[in-house]
Amino acid sequence: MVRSKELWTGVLFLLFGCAGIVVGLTYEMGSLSRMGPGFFPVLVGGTLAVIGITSMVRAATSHRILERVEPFRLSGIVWITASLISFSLFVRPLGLIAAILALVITSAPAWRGRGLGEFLLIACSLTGIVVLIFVLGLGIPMKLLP
Amino acid sequence: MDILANIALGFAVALDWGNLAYCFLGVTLGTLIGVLPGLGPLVTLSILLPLTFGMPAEGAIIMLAGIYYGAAYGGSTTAILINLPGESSSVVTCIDGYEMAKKGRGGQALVVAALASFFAGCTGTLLIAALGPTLSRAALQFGSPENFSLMLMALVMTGGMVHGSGMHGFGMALLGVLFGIVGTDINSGVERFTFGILGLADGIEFVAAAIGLFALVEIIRNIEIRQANAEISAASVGGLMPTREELRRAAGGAVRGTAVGSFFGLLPGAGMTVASFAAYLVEKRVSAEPHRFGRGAIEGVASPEAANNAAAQTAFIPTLTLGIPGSGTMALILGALIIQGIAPGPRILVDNPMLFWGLVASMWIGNLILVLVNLPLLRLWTMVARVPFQWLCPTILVFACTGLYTISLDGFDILTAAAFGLLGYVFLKLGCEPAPFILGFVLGPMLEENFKRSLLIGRGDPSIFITHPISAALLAVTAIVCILMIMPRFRRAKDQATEGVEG
Repeated sequence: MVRSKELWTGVLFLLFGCAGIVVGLTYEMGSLSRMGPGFFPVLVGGTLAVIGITSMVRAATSHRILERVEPFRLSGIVWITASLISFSLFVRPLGLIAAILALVITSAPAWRGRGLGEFLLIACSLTGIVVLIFVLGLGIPMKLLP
Repeated sequence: MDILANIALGFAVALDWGNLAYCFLGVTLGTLIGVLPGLGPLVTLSILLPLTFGMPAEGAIIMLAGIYYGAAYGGSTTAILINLPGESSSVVTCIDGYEMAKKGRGGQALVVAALASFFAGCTGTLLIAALGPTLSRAALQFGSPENFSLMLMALVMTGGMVHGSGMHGFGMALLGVLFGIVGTDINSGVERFTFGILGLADGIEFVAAAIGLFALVEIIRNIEIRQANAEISAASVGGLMPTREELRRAAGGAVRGTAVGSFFGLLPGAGMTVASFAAYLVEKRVSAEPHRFGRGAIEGVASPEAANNAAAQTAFIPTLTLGIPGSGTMALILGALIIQGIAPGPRILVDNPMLFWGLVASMWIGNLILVLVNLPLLRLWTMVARVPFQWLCPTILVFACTGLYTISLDGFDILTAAAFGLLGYVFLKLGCEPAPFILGFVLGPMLEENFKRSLLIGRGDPSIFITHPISAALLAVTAIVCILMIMPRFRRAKDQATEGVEG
């Protein structure tokens, strides 16, 4: 029960629902006929929180064996997230080519290429294709080099 | 005849060289990515969305539609030859398709799948041409209460139809609504849920959310399961020409599959996956020799393939004429239209007849392209399906990031995508489907607007939703769906049919 999908989905919904309510309440609520910006978020957040609580109760009272949350394997997600962050950091100041290289290098541990040769081949051909399609083909004004 | 003039207008638009090229490009790209295992239409569309922003609206939507049904077709090729469905709507094709391929009749299975898809595509196109104007005329009468009830129905049904608990599906849709309304409120000018972050003032970039939830999560999922399917062996294509007996059996299957698929496509939430499973079950039920199924029955290939293609086409009807998408994929198409400055809805036929009829005609042409161009390329597609993951992964990442960056030349969108990737990863581990989320995300602002306006008209009395007859009927249907969802028999059938990811 403690590690069931049912329970943790409920927790997730409850958290976001409460966030919707708490933040929504800081905006003007208005009346039913003239709703302020806070009304709808609080309503949606409230419904979501109720669903979350129902799910948690269902998890706590269920007699069946519940499906467990699948184990998190952090290596993949960490490298992929890091690669996106590095792309977003590099693309403005250093241009597209550097950003693509940074993206490919940072994500490399996740997809594990076979050796340096293959890695270089992938990085270079991808850079070429992207420049060809986006900059030359679609004519999007992007800075390529620093 | 009005409809003939409309179709003529459509063909005039679709046969324009530029649009023909977009259609061809879309169908081919869709097939190319569709044959890659695990990459369905949702991932394909979210990666390729930014490419279409610079195009004229007609070209963009024609290409996106082509990607969509091209991916549906590509998925069946790998299902038959490698027993590896390119996406969830062709899972059921594996059953009899791969059996046929093992007996050396893979070529015939592929030809039948292509012909059945073509037949279903043509029927679907005709249905759009016939039903679209009627539905949009009816929808012109819709006021805010009707629109609100319709959107609520779409959210509940999509939530209910995905694999797993219907309550969780609806919760995901609500969560999507909550994320969808982030940004400046159009009525009051108040910035909501932005926490002072400048990049959020215009709301969360829709493409960033889609790329994070679908493309990134798919990559990460593949990284985690990569070891499992290291060895892939393809059956040979063999001959292509089916026997007369096979054609006779397949024809019946294709017709029944088309009927089942067209129905499920119209229904919000069901989509291609449910359609193909339902068609297979129907086929088995009506067959005089049900024992042949699972051992290479050709109608077991024809029927689900016809069904998923028919559903792919008819799903456009509610999306375009009501402005209310029935599935995650259609939500992406709707988002693309909105970015193009076109408001889908009943007025689309009056305001953008070229776009609507051009799309209808291009779908027919696209289906023809699928048969004429892609069938001879079968051997190429089976090679593509075996592209190693270490090439695929960086390619998807680079295309997704560059495409996303081109939208507003702002690195913030990439960070948004990364954040949605993390969120999507949590959803994946919790077994929550992201399709209702993206639907809620797109519908969120419209849902709020119509809710507010309804209560303004009703002077604060919520009974307005049940005193308007159409709205009341829609809410009644929604309530019936909710009750059905709780019934154990229905739930079991649904769980069987939705194993896997919603396309």
